[in-house]
Amino acid sequence: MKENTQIDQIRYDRMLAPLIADFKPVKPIWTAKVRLSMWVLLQAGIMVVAVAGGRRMNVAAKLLDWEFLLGFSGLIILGLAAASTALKAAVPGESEFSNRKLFGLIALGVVAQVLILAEPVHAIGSIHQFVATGSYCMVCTFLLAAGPWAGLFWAVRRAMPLMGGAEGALIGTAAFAFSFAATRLGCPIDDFSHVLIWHAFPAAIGAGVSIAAGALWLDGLKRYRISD
Amino acid sequence: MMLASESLHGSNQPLMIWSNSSNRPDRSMSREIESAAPGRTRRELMQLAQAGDREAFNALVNDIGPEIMRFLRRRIVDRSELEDTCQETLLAIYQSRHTYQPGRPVEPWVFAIARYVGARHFKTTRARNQFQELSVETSQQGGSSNHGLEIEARQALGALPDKQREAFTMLNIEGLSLAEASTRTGASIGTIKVRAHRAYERLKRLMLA
Repeated sequence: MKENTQIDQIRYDRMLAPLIADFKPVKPIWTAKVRLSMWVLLQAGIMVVAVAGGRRMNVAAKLLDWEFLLGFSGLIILGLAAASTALKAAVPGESEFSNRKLFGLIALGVVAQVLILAEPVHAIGSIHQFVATGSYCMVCTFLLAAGPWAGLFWAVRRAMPLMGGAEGALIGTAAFAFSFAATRLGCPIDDFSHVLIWHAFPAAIGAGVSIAAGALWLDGLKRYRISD
Repeated sequence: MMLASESLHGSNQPLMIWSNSSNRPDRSMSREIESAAPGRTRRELMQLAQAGDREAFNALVNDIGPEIMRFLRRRIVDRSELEDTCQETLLAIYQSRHTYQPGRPVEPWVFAIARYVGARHFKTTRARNQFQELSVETSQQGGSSNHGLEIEARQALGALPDKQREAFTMLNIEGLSLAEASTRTGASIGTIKVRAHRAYERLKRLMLA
């Protein structure tokens, strides 16, 4: 009772006053929905570029393959869910990042990967050709993911991410799931080894690097320094 | 820098909230806060704070501060640590005020921040306690050879990088609070915590090797 009275009588503004040098107006960040919509627009543009600039001639026919379509849709949904969760989790009180969401995303990712990897296994004719064509796809995977990854990373960092590594994982998953889907749509090589090594692995590596980047630069609380 | 504990106990100004009119010695300050506060909800105060109204922010902080303190008190027993963590929470609220979505309730936003600051504090405290347990464990293993243990501990401490040793010594040997250590070194509270934690991990490896 006595302690409650003491707590009520504290001047909290004075507790904070020495830490605030100048009190400036701030512009509230856009809502998660608005930021997600802008990111999706960016991704849609990239998808169009990937299809238009890609070497696959049978895009429509490939999309009629139900396994490919399900895998492709799974990757898009995974990307959207991860981006949405990343943006929301970076705003305190908006949406908590729970284990249930994490397991949901992992399950969706696994199912999408299995479906998109369901391609026939062909014998590798020439290693040189395998590496040359694969390297191009790998570079495309990273290039197509770079812009959306940077955009999402910036949008999350602009808010107040509280779990750097987890946020990094979500951002990486979102950017590379879309990139994986886009390169699969543009790449004409429907071969299990090619897709696994030159599409899936680079996407997984990109997401892994994103976790490290998130842990390093996305812990909102670390950025709040108490100045003298 | 004035510490939370100083602002509470060391200041010459009586520490009464503005609404306590019978004990209101600092009239100018009270007027400042009153001008922004009457009849305003927390949402409105927060929106005014986003627009740059310091008085509104002060009023909001004084209004919600006791709730934050009670919230943190359930997790932190030590009074001085509680005040430091509360100060850290208020600072995080101030620095992330742009993330508040106008029109939404203020409380979920504030307490999400308080929960994370409290959790981070808990993590650091746990690391410190683990080291203390480790020290006891090592001394028990060493039996009567306390002198040998002391030498070993000194050697391990001496093997640490300067900044880690400094942070560890201040927090665990001199018993300073994070804010005090931060003031003394000029490094942020987060940096001090990281240095002390790394020092602890390294000491543990050295002493158990």
